[in-house]
Amino acid sequence: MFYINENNSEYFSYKELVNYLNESRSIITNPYKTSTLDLFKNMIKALIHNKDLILLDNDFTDAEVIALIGKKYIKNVVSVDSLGFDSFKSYLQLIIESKSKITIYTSGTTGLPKKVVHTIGSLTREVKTGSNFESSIWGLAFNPTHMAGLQVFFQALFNNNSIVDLFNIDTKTINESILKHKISHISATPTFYRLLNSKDNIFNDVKSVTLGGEKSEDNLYRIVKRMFPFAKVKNIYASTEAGSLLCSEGEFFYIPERLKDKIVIKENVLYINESLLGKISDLLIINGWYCSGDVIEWKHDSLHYFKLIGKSNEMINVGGYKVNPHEVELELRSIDGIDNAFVFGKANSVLGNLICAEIVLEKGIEIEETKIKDILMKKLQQFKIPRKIFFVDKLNLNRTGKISRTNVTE
Amino acid sequence: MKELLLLKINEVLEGKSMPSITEINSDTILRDGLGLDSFDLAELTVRIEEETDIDIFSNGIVTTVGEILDILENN
Repeated sequence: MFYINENNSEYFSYKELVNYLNESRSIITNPYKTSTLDLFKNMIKALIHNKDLILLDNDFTDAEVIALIGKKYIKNVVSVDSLGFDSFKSYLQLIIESKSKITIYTSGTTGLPKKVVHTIGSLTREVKTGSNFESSIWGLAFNPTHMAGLQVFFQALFNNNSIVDLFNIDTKTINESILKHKISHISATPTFYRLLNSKDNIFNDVKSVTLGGEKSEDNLYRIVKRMFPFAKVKNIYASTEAGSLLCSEGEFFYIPERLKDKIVIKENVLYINESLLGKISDLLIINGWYCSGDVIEWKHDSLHYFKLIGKSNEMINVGGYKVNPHEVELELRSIDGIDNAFVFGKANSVLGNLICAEIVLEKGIEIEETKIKDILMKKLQQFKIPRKIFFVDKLNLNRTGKISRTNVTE
Repeated sequence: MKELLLLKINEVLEGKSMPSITEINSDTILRDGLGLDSFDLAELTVRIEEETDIDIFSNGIVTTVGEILDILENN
């Protein structure tokens, strides 16, 4: 099988994939609001025909798409000839050699998500192939248009592995899918594992569990070890700009010899050499180096092992999704009747952080919390919308969520 | 406690423009029964914590209304 989704009863084999590649003559170069299976089929077809791709999140709003691509979304379709190969192996070779450029979007630090243009080389740098990987069965628990989801997709594709879709699926179906399809590898955010955690859930077939996207704490390792008693637990350091870079067992990372001149740490912040990056705005690169914004802490008495302790910028991590508070504040301030807004993450046992906002209304104006949320729903992806709004007389300037509630007048 | 929980669940549902509910019972499943996703559960913890100072998810995930009531009543 190539792709399985128990929620939609989709089962699509590599043989069916080859038939599709031979029969379909069109490619959407900017897929949007398509199913994950259609997204993957279309992406493979684009890669084998060296067509460039723009990947948009399904839940981007119309307003976000216009801001990102500069115009209203119009589906762009190109025609191609059939190549007529009879095995996936031949197509895989074309994917590996593809000249396509793949554009993805990541949460920016100053406003809108920024774009990063990748090649097949930069997306698959850490993909491993060989006999050890032949029989892997992957659980896909990330958004397929994000870097982490693409890493799972290519790792599985390059090894002819099955992908079992676990993204945006209820816990019961995830549980059943892992058992029924004997998933061997799962890469997911800490939130995914926290939500799966129940005393009845033990998955003996899973051999490898990867945590990524959020800071992982000790309690999470205990949860994961209990649910996946036979799995090797790894932590991954990856970014939209560079893909997977470092891998560790446990919470401490080190920079391997081959990357020592490409990843450096200066004043406890991690810098990545431009040779490891997809194409991003030149403004973000200084003398060949990109500042990841990730702050590290050295292991006691070591200049070799370190752990990640957070971001030097202000991105808020909500269940693995990065939210730029400035983007949300901008939208809030554009609502009639709102004088000022301040967005912050409040520590939360389910998602790591929950987006909250303090709002100062114009004098004499009253707006309900639900009305503000309704307006934002038309403008922002759901995970960016503040789930709790505090109406205050004056803003409190501390983004860590330790807000003083002395001004709260909700 | 049951009334407080019903009120807080309805606040979360209202924020999603979903119809409010009139009753809950111990067996009601938060995700499948009430249609709450992980973001909604996170919001629910914050709203309950505001009133009670209790983080209902601090010792792992809970799946039913009854489990929340147990936590609230045992604290």
